[in-house]
Amino acid sequence: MMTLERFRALAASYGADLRRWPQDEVDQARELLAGSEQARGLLEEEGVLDAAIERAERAPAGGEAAALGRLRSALAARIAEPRGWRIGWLGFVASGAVAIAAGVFVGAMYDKPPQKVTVLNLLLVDEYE
Amino acid sequence: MRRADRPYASATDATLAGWSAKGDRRAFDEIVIRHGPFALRVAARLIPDARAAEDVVQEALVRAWSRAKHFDESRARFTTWLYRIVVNLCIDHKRRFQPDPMPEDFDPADPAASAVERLEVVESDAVLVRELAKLPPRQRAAMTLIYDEGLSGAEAAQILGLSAKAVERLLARARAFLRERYAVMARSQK
Repeated sequence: MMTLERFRALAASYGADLRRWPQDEVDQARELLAGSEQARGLLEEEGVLDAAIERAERAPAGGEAAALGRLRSALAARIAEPRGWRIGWLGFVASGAVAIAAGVFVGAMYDKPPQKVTVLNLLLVDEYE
Repeated sequence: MRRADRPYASATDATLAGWSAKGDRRAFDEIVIRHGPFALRVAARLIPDARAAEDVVQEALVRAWSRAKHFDESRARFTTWLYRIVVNLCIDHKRRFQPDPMPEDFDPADPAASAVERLEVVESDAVLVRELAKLPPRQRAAMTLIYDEGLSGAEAAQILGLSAKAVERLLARARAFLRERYAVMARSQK
């Protein structure tokens, strides 16, 4: 059974609307409420403050859709593909290009006739002369 | 699945976050459509300057976009993850631009006194709006999340990075302050 003190603490935090109260304590709170005039009085007091807060919190109607529209436009202009993702694609393209260039180079080397004068040739010539 | 074929409207938040992390701007726009209104409402309540509030929301969502790859569905619900970014930025902003807030540890002078006597219904909503703006950022955030957005204490605690007990104390202090101010208003109108 919930104590009146606990009930008072919860009412002082969450107000009179039991839907806001911690779910695991609501049933006990209802039990106490059914049998305690003091508990009912507490909720009535908190209800007065709830109503005042609710009136003060009431947002002016109509502005939300326009604000969301502005937000979406601003974000569309500001967000780009994440850096890591972009670099990943750039890396993929760059490594592909390097591989192609290397292939062309190696292919060209094999197609060419051996050079007449190479360092090795020169060394061999020196040795046998 | 090609991007053009993605079912954005029916995808879960976590799926949209995954697509966003891979650079899908349309997926992120769907997230903004779903959760932008919450972010705007919370910011508007924490930051009285409407333009500044929208700027903070924009900044928060840009952060969410760039950090989408860090979202881990196994650790938190997407809304908790996103709302935490939004609420924390709002709190930071409010702290920077609210020069003289009420102290976080404010306690009521006489919590046991009869509130019925003190809480006469008066039409002083504008004054109470001003008093709400004086609340310390975390108290204001806790009130907004639970009272206005209907989140549970546990959900609000996760977003604020606090225990449920700590959130309960924030709410109690906020209400005590408002009760006190409201009673002063009521007395001055008699």
